[in-house]
Amino acid sequence: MSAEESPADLDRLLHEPARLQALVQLAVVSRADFTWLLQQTGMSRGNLSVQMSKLAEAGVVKVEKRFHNNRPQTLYQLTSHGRAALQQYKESMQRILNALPDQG
Amino acid sequence: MNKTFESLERRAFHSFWNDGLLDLMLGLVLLVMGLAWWQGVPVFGAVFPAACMAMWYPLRRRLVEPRLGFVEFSGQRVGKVRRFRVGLIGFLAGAMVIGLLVLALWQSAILARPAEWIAGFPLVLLAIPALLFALFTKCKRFLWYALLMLLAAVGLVINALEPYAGLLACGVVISVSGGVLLVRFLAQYPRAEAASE
Repeated sequence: MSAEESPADLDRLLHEPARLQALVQLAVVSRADFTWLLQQTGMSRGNLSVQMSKLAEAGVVKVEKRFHNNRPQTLYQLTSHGRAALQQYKESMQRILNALPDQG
Repeated sequence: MNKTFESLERRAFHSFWNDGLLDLMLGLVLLVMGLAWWQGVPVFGAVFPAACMAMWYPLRRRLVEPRLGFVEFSGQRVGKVRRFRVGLIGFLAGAMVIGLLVLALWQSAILARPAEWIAGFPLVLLAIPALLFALFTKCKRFLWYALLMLLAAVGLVINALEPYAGLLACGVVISVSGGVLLVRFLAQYPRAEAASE
């Protein structure tokens, strides 16, 4: 492990399984609504709602509220800052794991 | 996109097609084409697939989207879907026009009585798009539908049956399969009150 990089330095906003799961889903599509994320991640409505609010507050995802088919819909899209943060997180994680000695 | 992300994107795209609505429509298309052929109005059988294609998206928006959610795939995927759709529509339209033209020529006795193997030709023409769709979406059941249509085409030729018999048989099987999938989907995914928090 390099002296500059340790698990403690990982982006804590992204280093949380539920948030990371939602972010990864958003990273592979252009945008998706709350229901799509709910079905793809298997999280509860409450948990997903809390995690998405945190990601939105940090500017990692962009939120758009609209009416679609006469129903309220919340759409999420990864921002350019979010994409960069996810890429940075991936690289940091890879470096940390690569530096880990093989077990057994 | 690296391999892990590509596979996630493929999985998301695959799950987009698992509701059974398209299967049901394919089955109904085959059934209506078979019935129209049987009743001597093949033109209706040629028009129905176009109507189904136009109906699919509004039905999806009404039945599937409130349950599975709304997603917009990446620009690259959207481009692939557009190219596939244009190719599929072109293929189906061409097949319909050629089929109706050949039928009209036979009925007017300009063409000689067709060879026996021609009875299986409509199902082979319909199996090709099912096969292409299976490869495009990685939905294996469409591979089975294509295989079923090809086997039915062979069965028609061997047993010297009219093409409508094969269309009806495949239509029943695929409609039932699609219906079961759709009912399961509707039961598994209750309609969300709102697609928002």
